[in-house]
Amino acid sequence: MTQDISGAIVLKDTEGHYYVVPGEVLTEARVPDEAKAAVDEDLGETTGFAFDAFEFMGSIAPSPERVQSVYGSPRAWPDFAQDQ
Amino acid sequence: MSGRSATDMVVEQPTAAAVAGSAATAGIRRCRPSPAARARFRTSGHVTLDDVWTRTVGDALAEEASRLFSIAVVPSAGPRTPVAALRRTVASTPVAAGPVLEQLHEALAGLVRALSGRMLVPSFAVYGYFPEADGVVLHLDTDATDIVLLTTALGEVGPLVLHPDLEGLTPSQLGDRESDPRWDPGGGVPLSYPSLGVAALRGARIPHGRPPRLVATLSAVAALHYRSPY
Repeated sequence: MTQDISGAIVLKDTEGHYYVVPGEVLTEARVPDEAKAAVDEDLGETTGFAFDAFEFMGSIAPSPERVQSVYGSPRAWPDFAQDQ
Repeated sequence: MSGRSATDMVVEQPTAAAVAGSAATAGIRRCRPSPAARARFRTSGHVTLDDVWTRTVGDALAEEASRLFSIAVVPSAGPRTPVAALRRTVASTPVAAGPVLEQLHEALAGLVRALSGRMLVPSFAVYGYFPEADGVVLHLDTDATDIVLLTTALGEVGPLVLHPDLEGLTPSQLGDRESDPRWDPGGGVPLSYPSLGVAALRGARIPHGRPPRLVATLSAVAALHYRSPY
């Protein structure tokens, strides 16, 4: 059974841009074990492709403080602007 | 056109933690969007997912929404579309929130991440009430929203109408459309709200609204908003 992954991994490209990839996306991207050999084969042939340049920065989980800074945004609902 | 189906979800058995949790989260069918649903969301910015939770959760949402209506208030925050007075055809919408909705909000964060591919976290969730008439002005969600999940909590409202052809317009320009008597607010892409699932939308990108109509009974939409903490 697939194990859920909490948090995210962080990649960096050659221009210094960061990419935060959620664990849920990794779960979706998991390759069946029987297909690993095919992936290994293609990995061996990959040269010069843009993704070669990505650097693995580590894994993270948003801190409670960071999540809290988003959670509790003012309750809102669409309405007409009153200055017309 | 929602193109929804039960096959849009990969359904798994509830985990032990979920079963041991609250009534709301225990009733969530722990599921992931299918590859087709993810592809549809990626290309169109919206998708409808049925059967995300059980009838028990739906009943808990309806009970909580009904109970909180008496204390609902019109919020001061939210998208504000400038529309000519003669074209303001819907009343302001009072909102409220409660623990069942908040638990559902948190529990669906993983679904939102799998759907969007982005590290999103809950920002806010509310019930919006329509006691006599339904309708939401054409608008874009604010920067508190990258993705919104919408569901019918109580009663029945009409479909949300998306206007991808208006993507890129400012709120002022959207107000010009709503102010124009020739504008047909129903002339877009309808997106229905399931009662046991969600309509997922990139609400800050795709203009959307609900044309005014009468409702037969008190109705409420639950809106669960998510945004990136980075």
